[in-house]
Amino acid sequence: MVKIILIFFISFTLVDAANSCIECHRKKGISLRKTFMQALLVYGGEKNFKTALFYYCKNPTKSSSVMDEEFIKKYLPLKPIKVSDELLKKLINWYWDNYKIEGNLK
Amino acid sequence: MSIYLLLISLVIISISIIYYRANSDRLELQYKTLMQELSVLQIKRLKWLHNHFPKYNKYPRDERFNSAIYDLEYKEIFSTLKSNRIDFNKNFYFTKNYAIYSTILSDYYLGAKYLFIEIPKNSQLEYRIFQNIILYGTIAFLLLLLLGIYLAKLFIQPMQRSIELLDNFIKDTTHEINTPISIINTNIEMLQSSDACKSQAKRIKRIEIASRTLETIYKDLKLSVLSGKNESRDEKYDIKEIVEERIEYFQLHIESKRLNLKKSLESVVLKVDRVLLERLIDNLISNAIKYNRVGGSIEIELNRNYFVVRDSGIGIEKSNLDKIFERYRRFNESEGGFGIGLSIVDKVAKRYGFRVEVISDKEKGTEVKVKW
Repeated sequence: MVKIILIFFISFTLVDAANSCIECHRKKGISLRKTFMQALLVYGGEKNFKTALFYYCKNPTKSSSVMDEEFIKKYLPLKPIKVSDELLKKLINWYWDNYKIEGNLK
Repeated sequence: MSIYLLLISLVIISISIIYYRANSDRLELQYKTLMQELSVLQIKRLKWLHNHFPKYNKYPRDERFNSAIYDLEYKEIFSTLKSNRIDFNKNFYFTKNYAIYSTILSDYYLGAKYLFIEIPKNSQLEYRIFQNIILYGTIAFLLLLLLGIYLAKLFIQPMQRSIELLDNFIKDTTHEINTPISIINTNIEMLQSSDACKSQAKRIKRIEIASRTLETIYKDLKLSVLSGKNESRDEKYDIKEIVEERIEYFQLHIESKRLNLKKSLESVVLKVDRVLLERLIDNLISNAIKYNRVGGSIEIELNRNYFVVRDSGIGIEKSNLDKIFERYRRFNESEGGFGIGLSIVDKVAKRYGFRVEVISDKEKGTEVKVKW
């Protein structure tokens, strides 16, 4: 029972956090798809993508960003995302699973 | 001839391999050039799809080729390839039915690092290469064969003429030698029966030995020259009688060289031509006498399995043993002869399926065994 409650709680937290990401991106007019495709263009494989994104979310700098300078100036405050590492990893996994190319080509 | 054939075959095979390699390289280059162009085209399409995904999500296809994209972790993103064999370490390779070309993308469109292009192999081109190899290889082989035959004839002609001359000379000599030998033999017999010549008995004996030697040579030459022209008459003979008769014939020679003769003869009945068998026996005994040392020994053995003549003579070099049956081949010039004796032995043995074995030690002696 405890396990079920824990999973429910974690799931709820993840959905909540993901919604918050979507909401924020929507408000700023930054397409999650666009940033995903840009990151994919640079990092390629899944592991590489996730590691790089995790690192970027923790230490966002101009040099580690995949977006161009103009985009960064216009949109990004370059502040670290304040969530736990575990939740951030889960968010990145969610991001990959929802936007990945593999399995979505016909 | 067989060595020459082997050599030209090797040369043609080597040239064929070089030709095949050169053409394969050319073919590979043609494939690579074409597939490189197709890769550039496909990369452009991937780029376009990357920028328009997910509005457009149909993987770009082309009827000229199949393709696949893999990420940098070698994970397949999408594939229309027919081949199962994917090699990330090779830029170009062939599978059973396809040629595959791989490109590494500098920008990972759709997350792809590797792009594979696959086109069906043009087996007609390969078939044409093999066709050319077989066609030109056969022509070259036949030309070289004809050239070889021509050159062989050119070089062998002088040898053939020499042998022809020798054969003609022997034929003429053989024809002329018969009458004088008969006259000498008849006169020797007359002298031996005459009392007036008892004091000259020793000299007459020497003349008889010389005459018999001549007679033996005459018979050999006659057989050699006329071999194949006369039909042989095979009949059943007791070989022991013939051997004893031939030993008797050579008795004077044996005595003149003071040879110690040991014989062990059993009755053996064989169906043979008497003239041919006499030549075989005569030649073996004659050689054992001729190439023996004075006071040496001769052993003659006959049984149901073989006939053997052993001597304590000069022997034959081991390296020459395989050539002793060749016609006109002589290894010792100290004694006269044409070098046809053992060739006659060989010929007769082959005719009746006998096996001739020669064991010889230089300066110790020779053993010639004819196995029935």
